[in-house]
Amino acid sequence: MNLALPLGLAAAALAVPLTIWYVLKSRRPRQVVASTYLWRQTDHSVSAAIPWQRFRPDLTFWLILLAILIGALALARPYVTVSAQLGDHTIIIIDASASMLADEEGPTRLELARREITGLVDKLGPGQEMSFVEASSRARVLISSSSDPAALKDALASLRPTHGPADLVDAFTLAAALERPGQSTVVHLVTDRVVPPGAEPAMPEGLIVTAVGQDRPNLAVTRLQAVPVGAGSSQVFVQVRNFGPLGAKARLTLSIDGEDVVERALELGPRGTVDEVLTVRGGDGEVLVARVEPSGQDVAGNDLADALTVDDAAFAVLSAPRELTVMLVSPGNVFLGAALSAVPGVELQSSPVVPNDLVGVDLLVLDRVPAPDAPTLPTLYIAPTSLPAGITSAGEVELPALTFQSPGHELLADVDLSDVAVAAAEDIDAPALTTVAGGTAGPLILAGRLDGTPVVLLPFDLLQSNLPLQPAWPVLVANSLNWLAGPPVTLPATAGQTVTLPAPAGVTSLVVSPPSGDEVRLDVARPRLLVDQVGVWRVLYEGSPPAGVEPPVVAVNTAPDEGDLAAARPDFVEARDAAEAGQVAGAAEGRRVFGRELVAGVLALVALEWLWVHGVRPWLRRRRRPVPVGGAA
Amino acid sequence: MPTTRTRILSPELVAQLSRFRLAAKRRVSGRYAGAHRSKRFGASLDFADYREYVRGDDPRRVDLAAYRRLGRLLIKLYEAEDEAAVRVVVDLSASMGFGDKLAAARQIAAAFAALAAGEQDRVRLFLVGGEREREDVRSKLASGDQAFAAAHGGIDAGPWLRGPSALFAAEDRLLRARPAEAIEEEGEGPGRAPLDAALRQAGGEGPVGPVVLVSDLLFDGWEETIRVLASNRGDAMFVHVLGREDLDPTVRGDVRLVDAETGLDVEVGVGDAGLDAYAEVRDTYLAEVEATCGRHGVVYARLVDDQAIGSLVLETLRGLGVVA
Repeated sequence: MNLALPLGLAAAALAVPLTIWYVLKSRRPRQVVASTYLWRQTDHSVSAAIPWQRFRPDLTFWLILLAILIGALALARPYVTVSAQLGDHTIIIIDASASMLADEEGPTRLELARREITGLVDKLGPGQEMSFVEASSRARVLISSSSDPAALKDALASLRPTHGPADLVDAFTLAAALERPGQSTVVHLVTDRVVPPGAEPAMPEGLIVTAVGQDRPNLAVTRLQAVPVGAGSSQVFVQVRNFGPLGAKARLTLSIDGEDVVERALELGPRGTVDEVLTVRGGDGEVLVARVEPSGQDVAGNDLADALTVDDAAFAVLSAPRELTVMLVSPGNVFLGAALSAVPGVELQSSPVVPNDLVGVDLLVLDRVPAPDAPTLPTLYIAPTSLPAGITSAGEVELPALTFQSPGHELLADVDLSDVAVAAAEDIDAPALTTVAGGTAGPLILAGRLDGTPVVLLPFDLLQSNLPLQPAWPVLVANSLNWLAGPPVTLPATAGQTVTLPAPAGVTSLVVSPPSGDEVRLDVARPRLLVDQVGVWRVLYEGSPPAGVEPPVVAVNTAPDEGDLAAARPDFVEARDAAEAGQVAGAAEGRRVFGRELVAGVLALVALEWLWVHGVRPWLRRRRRPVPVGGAA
Repeated sequence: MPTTRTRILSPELVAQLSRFRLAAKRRVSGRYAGAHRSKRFGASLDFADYREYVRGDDPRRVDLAAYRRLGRLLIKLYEAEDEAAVRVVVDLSASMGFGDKLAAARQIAAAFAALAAGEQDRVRLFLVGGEREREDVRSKLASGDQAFAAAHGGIDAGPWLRGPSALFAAEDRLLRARPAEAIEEEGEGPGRAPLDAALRQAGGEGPVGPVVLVSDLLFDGWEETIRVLASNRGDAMFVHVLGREDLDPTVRGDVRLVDAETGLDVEVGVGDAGLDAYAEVRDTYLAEVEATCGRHGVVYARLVDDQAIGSLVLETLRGLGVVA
């Protein structure tokens, strides 16, 4: 045992005045006699008149002395070194994904995580600091480098789980940013599943992973999609999964704007999936909700359990079939024409030059023609001979290599450009646009907004590349049309995803109402929204939106994997044992301070002394008849 | 004699006591005829006095010889012999609970009851300051009977006992008597027994007879108690019951002695010198008590709790002329 504040032992010097007090104060044994009449007549001849007496402590002396010594020890803050789980700076990454909401027969996984972390906080020694990083779809720091246990626990209590997945890469990166040179830093991850392989490269060295939770049964609606089929009907695809190890019966209910329209009984095998394709009638913009709940009993006769409720419902927004008029301005491009015509709902019109009147046209495709200075419609530029304002070319680049693709961009969904080769391309400089794909010689696919109008730019001639011959070409064209004009069907977003909301001309700002009700105001120049709650997000346009343009309704569902409560978890014991054995690189010693227990001991001793003086000793005396001095009773 | 039913006195002692009787020095006035000289004139064989004949006197009591000699009708008066009404006041204060003082006090009171029963006398026990008496006072005070508490506080004056059952009844009361509980914690103790009030009550009620006080008399103001005892119209006797510990304390070292009755404490350091000083004070005290009793005409007898009661009654009291 070590002492963090050895000077506190000086308080033990209080034992000296205590002893002196006991010596000075008359503490002669009290003895009841028949009468003191004769003794009082003896006066001073037998009375001890000295101010001090032989040191004769009683039980109260020993109790108070012990309390003083323990109190002095408490002031010295004794501690023992405990398992190597704490460093000078301990960073704890807490998984705040939707699966942490799973019920563990009482507490949630997040609550279990809190308990684990509270245990670490209690072991925090003097001079040691701790930081908390919330690992959700967007990592954030809950508290940074604090040595105050109360503040740390408050920060821990403020942690709220999101409905999205945990972006561990983001969290690891943030944790690494909190590290300080010269400090021994230990990073913990408290989670309910193993670190995915994709996040392992970013994993801090010596990461201590603590798993929480057990395998739990769960039913989830893992997919819901509604496709308009005309005549006010939509074809609905529902996928229900049973993540439990045992078979389950469930009841699936579809409702539109709160009214149940379909109810199905499902029977799912162990970790099985049931896909249902149904046709429902609903208007454009109405919200379709699919709910699943367990029914019946398991083989043991118990009611079927469902440990996670957030994924029991999925949401989708019904839409009407979309008709899109596309004006292709090109000297002639069979690949482009064919790809555009292949997109469902597209009515293709062609022209060699940009018509003056674009009434009725929803989207413009400019292929090897001069581009207007400013786009008035969503436009797909393909090797324009003159660039719009805001885009400049530094010249032509031959054989530009494609080394970079933005994997999360909607344009590249299901698009593989690895075999694409380009003979020559313009070296474009477009600060307002985002490079979706490109290389060291310059971007090859750009997307963004010019004067608030969405545009996509391919700065190379299709006929000078093999892109039109790739399977990715029609997909890229369809993605481009969907991105420029919006998708034909509003697909539900996944919780934790950032969605870009349409911002028509005339709209000054967007007011978003999430399911929780706390409104969010978005800038029209950056209408990107992190949807971290499952449910329906409604948008209101402020300003003067064009007539007939309705603000979107965004349905958000949990990521399908979040419902897997039986997913692999790191071995709790092994992780802890490894840490305790000091096998984790970078781990230092933690401190277990006994101050609180010692103070409690002091209080207990004082209470015991009071109880002895005012309770036990009088009681014992009452029980004892007066013992005659030197005689039998 | 109820020799087989005694519980305080041994049958042998009761048998021995049956051969003795109380010898009242002062005249008594009993309700019934007895063996003690009465304040009244009676019909005993002992001549007492003459007086003038008055109409209504029995002519047979006219002393004819005196008439022939003096020519006057004189009536011959004879001594009357009444029973003795004995009061025994027993101190039941907390100090009497130490050692065997209570047992000794019980035996003394029972012995007087036995003497009275054997001589057709009456006896009345006043139990003073015991726990039962204190409880009675507390209950009376609780019930609002302030007058009773003030008049009889701490005094249990039992009934007059007479005849063969007197000893048994007296023993029964004595066995139920409990001394006051000694002080346990800091503060005031149970207090002194109201001996003075009990003595006044005993001497002021009923026929004239001996009053016997049984106490250790270890308290301040004992001189007043002796004076009150002496003010009785009949014989007064004090049996000084002391514990061996009172006389020869075994306490040693530095201690805080607490008075069982008053809670008064005294810190002492007892060594050989201290014990010598204590013995000196003790002897002075005993001499003063004896001298005070002598000055007031109170018969004084002392009994230490480790002494046999028989020696007190059959030797000491006999020597003092209390019994004959």
